[in-house]
Amino acid sequence: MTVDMFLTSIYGSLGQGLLYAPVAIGIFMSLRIMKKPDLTVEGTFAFGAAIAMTMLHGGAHFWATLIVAPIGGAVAGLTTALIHTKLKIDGIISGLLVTMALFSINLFVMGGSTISAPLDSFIFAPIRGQLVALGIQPFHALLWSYVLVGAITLIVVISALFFLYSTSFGLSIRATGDNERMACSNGVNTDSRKISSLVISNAITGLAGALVAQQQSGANVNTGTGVLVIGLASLVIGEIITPKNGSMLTRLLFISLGSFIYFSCISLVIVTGLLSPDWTRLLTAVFALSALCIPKLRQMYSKKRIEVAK
Amino acid sequence: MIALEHISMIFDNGIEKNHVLKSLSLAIPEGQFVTMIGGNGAGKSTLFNIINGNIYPTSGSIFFDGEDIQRKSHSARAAMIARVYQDPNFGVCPDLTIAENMALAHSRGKWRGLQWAIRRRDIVFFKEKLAEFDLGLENMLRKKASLLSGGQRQVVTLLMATLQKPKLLLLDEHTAALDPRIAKQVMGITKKLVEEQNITTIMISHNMSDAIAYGDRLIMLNGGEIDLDVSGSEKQALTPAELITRFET
Repeated sequence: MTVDMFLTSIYGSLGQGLLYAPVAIGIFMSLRIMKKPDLTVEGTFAFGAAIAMTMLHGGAHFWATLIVAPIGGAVAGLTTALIHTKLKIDGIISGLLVTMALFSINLFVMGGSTISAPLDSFIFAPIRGQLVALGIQPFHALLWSYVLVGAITLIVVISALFFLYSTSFGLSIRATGDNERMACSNGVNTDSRKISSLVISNAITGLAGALVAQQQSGANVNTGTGVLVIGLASLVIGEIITPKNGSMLTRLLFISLGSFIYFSCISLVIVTGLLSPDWTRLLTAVFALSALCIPKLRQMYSKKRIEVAK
Repeated sequence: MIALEHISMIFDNGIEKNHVLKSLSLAIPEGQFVTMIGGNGAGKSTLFNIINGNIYPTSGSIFFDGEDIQRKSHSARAAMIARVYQDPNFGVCPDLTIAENMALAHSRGKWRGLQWAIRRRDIVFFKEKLAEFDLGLENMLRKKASLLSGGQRQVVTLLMATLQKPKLLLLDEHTAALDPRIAKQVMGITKKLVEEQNITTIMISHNMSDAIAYGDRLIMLNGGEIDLDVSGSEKQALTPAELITRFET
């Protein structure tokens, strides 16, 4: 492997990592803050992608997709949340049911199993144009347009969440996830907090779906399959490198970094020819698994050291 | 003034009916500190659950200052009723800092909107309150609540319960999980907090001497009914041995 290959794969992964990072943040909101997994993610991501592509295909401006796709995600999250809180169905099953239903809805929205739109209608096109005008090679300009869009989206998402979690309302959301009984006896309407959290996290996921679909120049029925594990892998990789006792802002930033590391690793393995792209999913599962194991191994190691010291 | 009128609770599992509370009536004037004792199954915890809205009674009504609160939900009642549980883990959010836990309790009964959860003056206020206990808790505001010991958790929970003066404070054997030394300390803090703000309180205890030593009035429940209701000098004259004999009959 040459240094050149290494740099290329990292360079290429930067934009993708940033564009996918909101998915990991959405998973963080449900898995870490509410302490309940939300399986709606895959359906919502595809829903966001389908909405954006269909709109662009119909001639809508990309700004409109950035508003409608998150709304679509929010509605999906709301559906899961209402099934969970009002009908008292287990959260995992609620998410599964909504994802299942979204599959058909996505087919209906796209009017078929795949859809694409002209490249110059994407959010990346004007930025790429500007960069080319500045004298940057078209290929690099495209990559940098991913990076810029991804970075700006992340800045917006992270600042909004950081603000939310610092407010009285956000604190009551965090308390609901941490100790529902305590939140309830302090007068927090816990159902409304669970609903809000799912609505927000799925809106973020829907937005990511809209952006990634434009980066991949299209959406199809399989868009979204696997994003849950990709997001999970990014989340746990990010958490391994997060400093202990990191603030909410630090945690969110490191999760984004985790997403970048995840895509760099995958692309490194493929660029170097170690494995063919067919193995990406298996690789993802292995990355997620090892990232999940590292904190446990660390714990076991430190326990052993304490025993030896005794 | 808190009034319970003819509260009955029947748990019915379809096969047999368990009459836990039998037309229980009780009036507690404002500022009174009631200690409540009774064997297992006497109905103490059921009574607390009915008062704070965890469960609804089969029949009967509850009045707070003349207002019927029977239809209010658990979270709506939280604005006026604070409860400290036996299990120290129930009272705090382990992943939130102590300051965040206190901020959550501080806005009990208030609108939780998009204002900052913790402002600088809150920190000063929380520090001041924690410093009164002399446990060094005031220096741990930014630490996670999971780092607190059981006793410290109960102290913080008690303080949180009284940050906003509740109309009624329910103490559900809140020292039972602590070692005797810490339990005594927590009882002292309880007395101080309750007396300072003159909070109407009901405390369930399995410790007979505590039940006699603390509070203005002692109630013994037995089989879902009030078996003994004494206050003033009559209560002071009770001895733990006497109570235990009554307990057994």
